[in-house]
Amino acid sequence: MVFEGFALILAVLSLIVALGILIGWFEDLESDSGSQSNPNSQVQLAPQVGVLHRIYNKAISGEPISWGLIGVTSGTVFTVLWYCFKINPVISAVVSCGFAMMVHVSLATSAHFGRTSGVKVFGQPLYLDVVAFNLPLIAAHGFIGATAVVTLSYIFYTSFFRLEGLLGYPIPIPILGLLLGIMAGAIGSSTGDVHYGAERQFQHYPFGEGVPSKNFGHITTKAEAGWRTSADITYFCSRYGGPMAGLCYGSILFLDNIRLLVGNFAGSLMGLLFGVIIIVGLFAINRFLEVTSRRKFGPYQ
Amino acid sequence: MMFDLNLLITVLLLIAVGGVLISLGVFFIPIGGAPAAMATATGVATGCEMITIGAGVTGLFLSATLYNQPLLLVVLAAGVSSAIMMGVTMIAANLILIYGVGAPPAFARKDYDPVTKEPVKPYVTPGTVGHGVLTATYLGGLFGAFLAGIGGALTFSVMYRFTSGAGFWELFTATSQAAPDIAAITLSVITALGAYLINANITAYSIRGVIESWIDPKFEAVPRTLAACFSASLLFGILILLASIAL
Repeated sequence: MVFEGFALILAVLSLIVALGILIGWFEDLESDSGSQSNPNSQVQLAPQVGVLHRIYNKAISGEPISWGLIGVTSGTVFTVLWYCFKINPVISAVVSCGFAMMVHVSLATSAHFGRTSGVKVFGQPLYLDVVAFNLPLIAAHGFIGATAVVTLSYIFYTSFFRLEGLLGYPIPIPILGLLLGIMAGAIGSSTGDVHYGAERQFQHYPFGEGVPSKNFGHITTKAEAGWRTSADITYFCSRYGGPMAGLCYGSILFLDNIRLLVGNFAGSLMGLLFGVIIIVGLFAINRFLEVTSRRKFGPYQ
Repeated sequence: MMFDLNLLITVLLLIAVGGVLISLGVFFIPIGGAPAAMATATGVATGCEMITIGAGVTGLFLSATLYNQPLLLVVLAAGVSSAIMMGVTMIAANLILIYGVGAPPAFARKDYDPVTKEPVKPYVTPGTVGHGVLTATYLGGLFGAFLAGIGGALTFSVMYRFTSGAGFWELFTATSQAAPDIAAITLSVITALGAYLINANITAYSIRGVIESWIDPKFEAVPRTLAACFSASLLFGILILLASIAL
């Protein structure tokens, strides 16, 4: 029985990490498909320096706030359906994320219209086919991310009471959705955006350097064939930036929960000590990356 | 219903101390803002409030799970959680910068990395002030997230114990609660999120959005900012206590 209980805990932990990877991954791709967060500064700046583009531009807030909204909307509707109307959690998750997707798409549409009309004086047209082409892409990525957030909140909440506090958090599902969404936004914004902002957005400049301030606004507008759209950007970022954001989110959930488990089994002080060991390990990994990259690339030429 | 005045004042002071710790933590985190996402500036590529809340949330999760443990243990565990989140995020940002953009971590502010004494300036792209997270700023980021996590967890735990009806000494020791008080947890999480937003925002004005951890000259603004955060958190604490008494 002890073995079975342990296997169940490990299974729940692996499910948590898998869902975490999905959240980070699709959160980053959703922000890339709408040019939200940091790279948006360049998309908004481009018409002002004479570069007209066909890229979707929907940022009206930072990613953490936007994803906190998605998380809390879907989490609230999920709780109402599951807890009050006693509907099956799987059906509740799909319905609540469908509702959150409608909120998300209406915000994305009005944000794009507003931001594009803001640069109309510089000659930037509002392409309706860009809106029609990119909205399903944004909605799809947002839907998958929201489903993962709601499922993860449900697992955290129920497993805390089922597994007697060994895993999970005693926080209500709407608030968990808000917190997980904020965390996803913070991670996607600080990791995945670098791949879009520093590489894909300035792809006609040489590879292997940061973007000097004099190039700001001169973003790449031509794709492999024809004009570049947000779908091309999402395709490119789904190869490295998105998966890395997912890996980051999954690693955080994994390391933090494995530390919680160690603390629960071996005492809180051991958990604290294990956390310090993890931090030392992270520092060593970063140092290794820094040293190898400098040796490999050499000074700027 | 009468309230213990000592308890109220202690809760207020601890919330204010939590705010000061969050603000001090933000000074240590290498924050690059939007330019860092274009590899034009060093640090983590997002705003002060965003990365502080992101790191703090991990600590809040843990402090909610350890709701009936001694206060010191809870805040330390939450600080370590926040440091783990920040450490992983900075590694992922460096991985993308190195293998996705092809630039090694470097900054132009100093010729040498203050911790490892290695030359870093030759690796900087001309026209930028650096890119990525170096050893010196990485250490600062870990320590800053630890401090901010402690501050948020302190606000959360003190608020939780107060709203779930703890006495003066139960603020600091292990409590006898057998099951978590979900309503108190909800109110306390929202309080802690508010504390993160308020203090990170005041600090963001002080550092003008970007800072390169402890090697930045803007670090001199610490005493003024901490005083501002202390008074703002005290005011915030009064408002939130009034709201919770009404409940």
